[in-house]
Amino acid sequence: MKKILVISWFYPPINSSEGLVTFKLLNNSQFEYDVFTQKNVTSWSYGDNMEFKNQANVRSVFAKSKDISIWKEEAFQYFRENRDQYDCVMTRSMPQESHEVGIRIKKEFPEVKWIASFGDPVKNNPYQHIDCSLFCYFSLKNKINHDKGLSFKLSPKRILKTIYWDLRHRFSLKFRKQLAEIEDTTMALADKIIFNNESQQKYMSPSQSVLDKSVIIRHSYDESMYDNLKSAGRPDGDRKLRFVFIGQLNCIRTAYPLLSAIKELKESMDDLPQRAEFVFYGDMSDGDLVYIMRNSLLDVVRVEKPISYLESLQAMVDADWLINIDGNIGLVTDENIFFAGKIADYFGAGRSIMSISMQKGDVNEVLRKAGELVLSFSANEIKQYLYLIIYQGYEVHPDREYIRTFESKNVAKAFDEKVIGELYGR
Amino acid sequence: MKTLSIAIPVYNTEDYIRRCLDSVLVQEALPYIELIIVNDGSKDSSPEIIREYQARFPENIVFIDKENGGHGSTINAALKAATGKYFRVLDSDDWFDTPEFIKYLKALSACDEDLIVTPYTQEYVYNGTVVPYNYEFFTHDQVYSVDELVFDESKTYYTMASSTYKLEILHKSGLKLFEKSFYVDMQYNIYPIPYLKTVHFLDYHVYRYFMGRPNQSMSQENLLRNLPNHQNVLSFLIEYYVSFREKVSKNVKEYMSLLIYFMFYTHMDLVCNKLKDRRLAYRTIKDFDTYLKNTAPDLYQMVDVFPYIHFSRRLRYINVRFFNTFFTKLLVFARKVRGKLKRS
Repeated sequence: MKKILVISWFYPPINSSEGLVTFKLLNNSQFEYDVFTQKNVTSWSYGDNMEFKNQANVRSVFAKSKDISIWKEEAFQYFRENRDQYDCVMTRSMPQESHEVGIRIKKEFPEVKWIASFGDPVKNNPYQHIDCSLFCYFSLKNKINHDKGLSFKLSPKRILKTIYWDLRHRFSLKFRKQLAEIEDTTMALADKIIFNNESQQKYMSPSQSVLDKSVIIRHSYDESMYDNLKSAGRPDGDRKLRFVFIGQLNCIRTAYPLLSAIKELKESMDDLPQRAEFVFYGDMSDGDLVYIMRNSLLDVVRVEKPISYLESLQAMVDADWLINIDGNIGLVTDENIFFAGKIADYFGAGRSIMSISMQKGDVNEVLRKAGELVLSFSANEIKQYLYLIIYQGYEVHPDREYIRTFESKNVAKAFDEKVIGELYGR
Repeated sequence: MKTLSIAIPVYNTEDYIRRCLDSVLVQEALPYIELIIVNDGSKDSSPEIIREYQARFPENIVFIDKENGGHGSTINAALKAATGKYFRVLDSDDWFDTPEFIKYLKALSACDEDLIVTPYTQEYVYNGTVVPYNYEFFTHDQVYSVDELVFDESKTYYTMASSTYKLEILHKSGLKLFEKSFYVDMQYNIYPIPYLKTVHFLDYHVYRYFMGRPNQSMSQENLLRNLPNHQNVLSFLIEYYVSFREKVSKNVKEYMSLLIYFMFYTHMDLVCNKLKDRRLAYRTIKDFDTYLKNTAPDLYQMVDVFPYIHFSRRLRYINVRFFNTFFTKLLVFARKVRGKLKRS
């Protein structure tokens, strides 16, 4: 078997969660990989670039270009020039441009095996649905208009408004159509498709044939990265419980339920600032920041700037409880289709996890199996458990055996067997 | 004797039952409470979770594992096993607000009234919104005689989520809920009422009512599917009311009739507007109306205020027959077209 060419825009030294997921997977695999990537553009990454060293089985090839469209071309040319070295290509989104390279390679060299690995959905991304409306308010494609009467449906005013909206948004509509085409073609042409959780698999698979060739490879944590990390300890007399959230928050993935729970608890328990602190590393929406200030929560809540991956692991080890917050995408789907990479890192840190998420979804299934705390968006429910943890000594009892299945060696083993093994009939 | 027996009916709620039990089993509450957890033939891991908690709190948990018999059967079983001074129900997907619950328990231990009422809150957990149900005509920590109460304006009644009954009263009333039936909570809400003398209001939002889906409370498909159950419970309550209406005070009679009125409203709304089989709808509404006229003429008069009942009675139910049919839709459309033409 020849080497596998991995085409991924993000890969260390770029400090991005997409790249780190790939890094942990490949470096624990039994097979040999060349990773075609870049180290010039740091957007979508956080903190300083870091230097994680590849194992002997992985070699990075860096593109010269800073432009992603030229990078696509470079990746394709690199494969064409070194065709005899590879008989399998793996592409990884986000961004979706790597899949575009995969499509081009597969069309030109149909005998090459192609593994397409998805982070988030390319088309029908719920965040896009909620962030920017996809249809005109008056369009019949809009669900809210389905029940309206015939006079509304046949109204020339409504039809004209819809046409005008489509004209105004023609460029973004065209772009979305292109995205949909990329995802559909990838699903049709790839030999193996990788999703990171079951809910995502259900949401993205358009047909049984895609389901049949898709595999779930979970995010993982690398135990060796925690070897040199020790809890920094607290100054004498500091017995505050430390709750830590690491990652980006925005107006959809918002800390609002947690913040209102903290506010409610603080109102009923005056000594909360002496007993607990909540630290958020990363960006937060303006609305949440204003909420913190308006409700005088700064004595309990601390918002810190984004930190590098290694620093984030240290922050996890220093915490008592780690918090996961998912976005509420209930307007689009009843199930949470995302599985944040940080949950695997939280597992690695060995601290208790409190997850605030939608009712259904793979995150809840996994965390319940792992014996961690799973909560809804109800502020009272969150307050309830904060009270139990801070004032009643509530503890969770994680199932370490199950959590070990997320260790990168085990995940890479599953990847070797279920993806590479099946592809090569081993 | 413990102050409070809490009945927790469980059926396939492995995802929620921990939240329910965690909210109740806290150090400050343990001296006051006993939990009677009744597993109604769950097929998931709920029984194992309950056993895990029972091992941790053997003094406070009584576990009854029985075959499936519906919500009513679990409360019947819990009532038999209860030994506390007071009794209330906590569904296993709901929870208590712990700090409020502790305050409530301390106040409850000093009470001796027949019914303790607390407000409750609906928790729409899928988007974090809440709907509190307050009893604004009450004053916190005030004792009322049943005859002093006014029910008409607020239209808020004591639900399972807001009521804590003295166990003695429930036993005295001979409360036995229907088994394998839905809507037995209305039975629970009405049955002990004739036996009440005093009511104590505590303004603690203890009960958190879980709303897991956007239209959970008004799932009309479910209501339609279980329409016979709804009718059974309603008929039973009408007869119960009839047997007591001469024996109870004016106020209690008013309250009981008000509850039946709410239930009747739901029933008729479903039958008249949602039932697709129009022949069945026609028959059901006509039969039930005749039954009501013969059994409880005072309720029959009261129900006359609903427009569709009022007109149906006048038109001898002809409109019910035609309502929502293709013919009426065509008529509505024709009227709309005529209106548009007139306006233009």
